Amino acid sequence: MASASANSGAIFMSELPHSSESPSRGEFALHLPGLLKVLAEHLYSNRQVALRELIQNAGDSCVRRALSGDAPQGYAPRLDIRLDRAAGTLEFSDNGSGLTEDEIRDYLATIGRSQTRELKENLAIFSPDDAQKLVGQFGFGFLSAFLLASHVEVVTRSMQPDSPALLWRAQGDESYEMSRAQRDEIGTTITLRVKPEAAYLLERELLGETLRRFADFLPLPITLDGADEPLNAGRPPWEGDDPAHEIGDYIRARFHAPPLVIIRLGPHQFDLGHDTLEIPLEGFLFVPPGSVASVREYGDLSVFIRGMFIRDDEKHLLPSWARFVRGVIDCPDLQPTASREDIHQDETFGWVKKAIEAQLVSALHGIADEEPQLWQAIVRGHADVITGWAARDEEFFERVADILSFRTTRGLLTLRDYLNLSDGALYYVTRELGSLQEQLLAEGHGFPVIDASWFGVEGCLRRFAATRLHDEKRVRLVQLDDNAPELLRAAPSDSLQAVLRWYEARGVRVKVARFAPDSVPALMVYPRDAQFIADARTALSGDELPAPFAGLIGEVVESLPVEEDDLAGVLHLNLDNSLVQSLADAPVDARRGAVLETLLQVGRLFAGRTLTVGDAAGAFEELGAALGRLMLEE
Amino acid sequence: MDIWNWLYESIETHREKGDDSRLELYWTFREAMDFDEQNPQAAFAALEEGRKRAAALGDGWWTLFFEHWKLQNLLSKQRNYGAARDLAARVALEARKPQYAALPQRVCLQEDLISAFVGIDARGHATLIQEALDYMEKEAAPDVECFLCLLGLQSDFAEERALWNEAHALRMRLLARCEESGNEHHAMQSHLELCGVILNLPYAAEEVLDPANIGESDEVVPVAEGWVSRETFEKRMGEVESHAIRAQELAEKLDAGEYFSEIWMWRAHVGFMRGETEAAQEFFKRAIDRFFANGLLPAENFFAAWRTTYWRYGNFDKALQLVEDEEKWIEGTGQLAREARLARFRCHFKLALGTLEAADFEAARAKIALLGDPSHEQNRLAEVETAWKNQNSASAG
Repeated sequence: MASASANSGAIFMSELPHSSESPSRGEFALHLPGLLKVLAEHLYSNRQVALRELIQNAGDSCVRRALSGDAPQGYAPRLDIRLDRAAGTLEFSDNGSGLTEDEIRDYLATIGRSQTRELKENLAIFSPDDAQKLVGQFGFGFLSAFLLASHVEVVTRSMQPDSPALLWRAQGDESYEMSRAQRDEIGTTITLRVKPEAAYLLERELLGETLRRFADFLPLPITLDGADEPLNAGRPPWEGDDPAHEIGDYIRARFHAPPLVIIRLGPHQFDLGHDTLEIPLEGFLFVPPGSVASVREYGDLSVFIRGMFIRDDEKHLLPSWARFVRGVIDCPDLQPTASREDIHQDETFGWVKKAIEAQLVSALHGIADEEPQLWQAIVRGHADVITGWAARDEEFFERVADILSFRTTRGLLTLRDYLNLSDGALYYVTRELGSLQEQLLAEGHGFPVIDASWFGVEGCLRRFAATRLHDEKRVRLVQLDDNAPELLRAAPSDSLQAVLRWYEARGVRVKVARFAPDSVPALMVYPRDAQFIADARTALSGDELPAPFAGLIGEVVESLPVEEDDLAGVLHLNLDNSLVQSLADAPVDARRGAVLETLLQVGRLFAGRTLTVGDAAGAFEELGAALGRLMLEE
Repeated sequence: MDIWNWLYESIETHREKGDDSRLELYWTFREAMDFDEQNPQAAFAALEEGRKRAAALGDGWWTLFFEHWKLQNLLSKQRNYGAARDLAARVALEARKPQYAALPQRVCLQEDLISAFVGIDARGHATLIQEALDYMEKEAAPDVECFLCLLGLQSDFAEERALWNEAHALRMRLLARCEESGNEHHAMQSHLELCGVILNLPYAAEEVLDPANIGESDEVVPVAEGWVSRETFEKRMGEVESHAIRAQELAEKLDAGEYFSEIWMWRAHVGFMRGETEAAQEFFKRAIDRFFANGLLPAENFFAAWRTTYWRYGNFDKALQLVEDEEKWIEGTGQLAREARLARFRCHFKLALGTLEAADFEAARAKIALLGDPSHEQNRLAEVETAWKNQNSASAG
């Protein structure tokens, strides 16, 4: 698209006049309402992510309590979410560590300071496994509550001994209120008075779906309105009792497709020579049963970090050619952005990508070597995507070029097999096949034709022709459609003047040509759109359409640039055919007339186009009459 | 039975029979819909693949199902009305056959054909379109989704002919239907469309004041092509804002990201018109960012809101640039009436800038000549020409 014309001329700092005086120092000032507005309203791309931030805060709070050593025996973390449509409120209640008055001031009400991050940093050296259980780190996720709510109320009681229950209230501006409250249980309850524009989240089904999406893998049971069963699974499918089965079920439910193959991902070690690097990776890749067209690509991952959903449709963690692969991963080493909706493409990101590629390539090689039928199914199911990427990506092309099958007039063939059937050239059409005439003419030249009507196939053929030899010769590439002279060559008509006159007297347009196979005496060739125009005229004249639609379709027909004379088709007589040759240089008597009638009707029937049932019946009738005359002549 | 009932019943039947080939058609459709927003060309290719698969199975119903969604893609996403018209004519022709008599999609296919003509040149085909719409009103049962589409189409037809009161009434009727049936997708689209209709409503409702009758003490507010009373202005802007907010809420709920650029453009428009420039700038930036990030060409109203804002503030050079960009963006999509309108706008803004030349009129006339009924555009262009001549004689004097 063109550049935005709305941009006003920018004044760059370098264009401002410079002063020769020594510079004075200053400090940045903070405009708190503006900052709050930016963080609460513009950091996140949509309102639903606020739910994730609140879940994550609750989750971390429960982890803090579990790690504290003060949790009661058998402590079971939980988060219950209640919605009240009438009151327009959402309530999040956890039994986590709660907050003291100081913690509220230091963390809840201090932007950019994260209790979780500080605890995580403390744990990182001595208890890295515990540190990994904590998700939060930025210290402003709580602000996202104001994406959803005009008023936020927190009632909390800390696990610290003798901590009083506290009530904290804010309305998204720079101030808040805090006072004593009534609460016996340790934990926190956050009540959001939902803004009108976020009221849709008060719909139970939608809320449940959103919560499940974010927290399905999180080891924190989340219930809705105090239900007995949590709405989230609480663990990823690969941690289940029967991972293969559970992953399969997960793929069917989440991606709506049974996978052709599932590739499990696991921790990956890189040998750095002097050291090893371990990437803690879990998850799976899978190949869906088929792709739809070559521009229809997958190559996407759903990414989780420590069980918390970060994003779908991450396309940079898989190699660009792997567009027939999808997957789900969880890697605690990946760094989310502050809004936690994307991932930093830092050095770790690069290592994770390499780990995934290494495991994918290894698995695909294993399948190609050990399960050729499965590999064929993958290549067949994703032929369009694979050919598209093979045309674009040299490395991937090299991986698949010799095993990829293409649709041809003789079925699916690899290009190597195809070349063995042709004369060292790749003959292809970009139009859909289906015309028996085209197929016949191509086969008449002794070669099958590749169907390159799908995007990408032609590019793939070009790359193959440019990089491969056949019998030590360069591979030629020949496009057959829109190249009529290649198949039908004009020929002199002098010897068939009487024949031409005979046809013209019957209103049949006719041309003399030469084409293979020479066993075919004549072909009827129609212009593009002839079928549609004939159908439309039949429908219009037969009152088969409601009048207004007949009018609209009639307008379309009128607008098509087709020569009226060509609509009935042009009969091409093959001068290389012995029957046609036998008709040369002689007047058309009754017997020859019957032969010409037969050629015409066979040509019409064989073309198979623009014929109504009545036309076909008429053609058979004419054909029968002509054959009858021939028999009488005998 | 509407199309969704047919679809879900078909899937259940295929599942019970273990007919994986036809279940695959459903997955193909789902996958195509995944692409619909971000890459409409890819979605179109996916739908074409589905059509081919259905045709290979000899399944005419599924074939036409995919054809309908290809048409929807061309009409709503790619906005290529010319291509849609050619395809819709072929598909409507096929759908006339007896084997499709009970196909629920048949009504949708007929609506697609009308829709294409409305988008190309509604005035030029007004009689045929009106007859077709009248016929459809008898065909489409009021309780199915097709009826909502039909009301939307009737309103589009009215909007294309600048019948703003009629368009407003039809959209409000559609909204009421959506309320009854709980159809939020159509409701969201209608709220958005209403923003554009209301923007033009003062002209239809004769709320635009004659400058000669404006007294010194009258509180008036400039709109694009005239002045309205403060009261009218507040009322209309309030309506546009509330429709835009409601559309935003529904778009967020439905996760319909492709509509945000237009929604924010309307919110920006209201802000600018009210002089709330800080908030308006923010919405405007978001609208533009989303527009350029999307692979989609937004609805014409997106540009109308954008252009009208420039117009109101007298930024004719930017308005002209926008018109020229819009002309490029819609090139080859067969929107003849819109192209003629844009050619007229070009003359209008050039007149305001004092750069209008005879060649601009020639170009506009050439576009207008392609219309089936050029009289409306000819008259509007004549108004610009008269003003141009007056401007020239004033400067000569």
